[in-house]
Amino acid sequence: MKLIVEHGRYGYTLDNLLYDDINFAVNEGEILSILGPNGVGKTTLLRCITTLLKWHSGHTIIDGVPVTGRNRTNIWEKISYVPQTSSAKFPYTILDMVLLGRCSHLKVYSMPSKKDYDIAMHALDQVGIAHLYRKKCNEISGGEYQLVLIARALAAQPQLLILDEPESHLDFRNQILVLSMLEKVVREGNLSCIINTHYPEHAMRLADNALILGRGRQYLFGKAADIISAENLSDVFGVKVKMLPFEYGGKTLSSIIPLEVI
Amino acid sequence: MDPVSHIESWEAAPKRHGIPLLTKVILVLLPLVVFVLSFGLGRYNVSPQAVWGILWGQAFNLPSSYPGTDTSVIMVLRFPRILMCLLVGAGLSMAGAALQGMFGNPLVSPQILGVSAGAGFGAALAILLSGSIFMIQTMALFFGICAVAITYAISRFKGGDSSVYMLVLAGVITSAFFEALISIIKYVADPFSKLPTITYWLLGSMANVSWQDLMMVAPIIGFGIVGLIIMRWRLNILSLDDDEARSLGININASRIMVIIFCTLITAASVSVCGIVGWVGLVIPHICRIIVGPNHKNLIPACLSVGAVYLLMIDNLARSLVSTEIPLSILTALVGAPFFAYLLSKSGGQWS
Repeated sequence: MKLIVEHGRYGYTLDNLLYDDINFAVNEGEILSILGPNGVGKTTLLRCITTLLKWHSGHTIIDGVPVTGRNRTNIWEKISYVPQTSSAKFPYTILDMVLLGRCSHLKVYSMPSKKDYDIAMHALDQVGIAHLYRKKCNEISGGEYQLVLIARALAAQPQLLILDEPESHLDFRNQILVLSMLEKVVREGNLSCIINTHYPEHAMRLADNALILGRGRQYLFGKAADIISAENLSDVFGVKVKMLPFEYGGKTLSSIIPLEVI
Repeated sequence: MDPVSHIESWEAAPKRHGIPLLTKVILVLLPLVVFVLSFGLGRYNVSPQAVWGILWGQAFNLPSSYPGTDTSVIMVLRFPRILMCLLVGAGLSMAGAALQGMFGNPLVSPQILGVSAGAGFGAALAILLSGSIFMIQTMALFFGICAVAITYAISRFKGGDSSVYMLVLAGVITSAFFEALISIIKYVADPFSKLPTITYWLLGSMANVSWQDLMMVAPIIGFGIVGLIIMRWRLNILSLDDDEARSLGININASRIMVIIFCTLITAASVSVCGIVGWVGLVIPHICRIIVGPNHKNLIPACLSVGAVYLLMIDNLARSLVSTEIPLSILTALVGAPFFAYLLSKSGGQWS
């Protein structure tokens, strides 16, 4: 599927806009990474894209059809959203939690069937934690929990996966675990993907395109390899940055080190 | 670990994942057993054979060989009362579970949205005005629903969607307002005739339940119960934050309004016939979470069974313990509070 944001404008107050005329696109099978400093509106942008918040002007266009108030809930048949942390207040089992992802495919009065259980279980298997299905959500590690949320998103069988900083509370190993799992399922399923991250390295490693949000409604959109550069990062984040590129597994990765505040 | 072998071993999992068979059987049989036994309990002694004979005779319209008093005690006094207990107990427990789920808060009871205070005011006003039983019930129902409508309206003052947080606060406001109105009515009511009636009524009692009452509220409570049963799986999604729930593809405002309507109908109808019965809707969901876990798909049916049994047993105590009727709210708390404390000490407050 193809998602386009056209002339997007939004701000919590009218005289303090976060974005004014923002434009970008995600094509089928593409990963877009969104970068930017705290408070610049990365999460807000995801909420606007998915129309959880309403654009002041401009549109989100999905497969050529603008999303309006009327077809707002229908978009969740194609899009899955993984929030930063989940708000589950009850310790549901992992399978029960992943099963909730089937909601958009079920009628209001119907219950999940055997088929839905199978799909949920398959999603858990895709992210490699099928063996945990009977555990409770409060009995597993943060990394595993993030995989549960990704599995729940996959259980909805989306064409576009949107994730809000999926790796930000995780340690070293779990970050790489979650990211590589994510890359695998997205590439295997030829899904489109939008991912917010605080780590430019992760964006370089994962993404085809990048969108860098800066202060004062500035933004950069382009090939990740092109626009994630020391100059752009130091401009946007206000720190002196050193990039050390190296080869790993046939790919050029970079170590990106913030040196001092400008 | 090899993930594929886990998938294979999982084949039977959905069944294993539901309520275990033994628990299921107990949850189905227990209400039936307590239902049958309750006919024989009470200050007026009717032997088990007589109970059986009378019920059998009434069912098949056989000529009765039992004394007329026995027949009327069973058929006119106990039968509708027992059914009402099952209905109200089940309804209040399910409403409590649904609202605790929706608010993501274990302290929530069906009273949270102001329905009991509103219904209590309606009834107290009707008693003050020397209204008929029918008028008391209608006014209780009417003001109970009004109170929730006010709560909902307040929660949307800021425009847009009504958040759970605003609903709770609005419920507190509405409850406080209607409780003050109840106090005014008690203050001006005749202290020798009307005040005791009002006070007694507000504590909840099944003493005067008739077939007519049952016919009036059973469809309303039944409607709410069926609605919550249909929505039970979706309550899991409503227990999440707004954005997360929306992104799972649920229409959150419509779903929330449905739950509020079902719970309000159950609670207002209950209060309109048997006064304010506290504590049931608060505790039974917790007990049921300990038995079947937090998944509302299992929790709601469990509440139906356990809630019905609990209120019926409490009412059996209320009508047989001493020679005068004990108000229900006194017993639900006196019996329920220590029991709940015991459960909490066992489970450490874990919802599972």
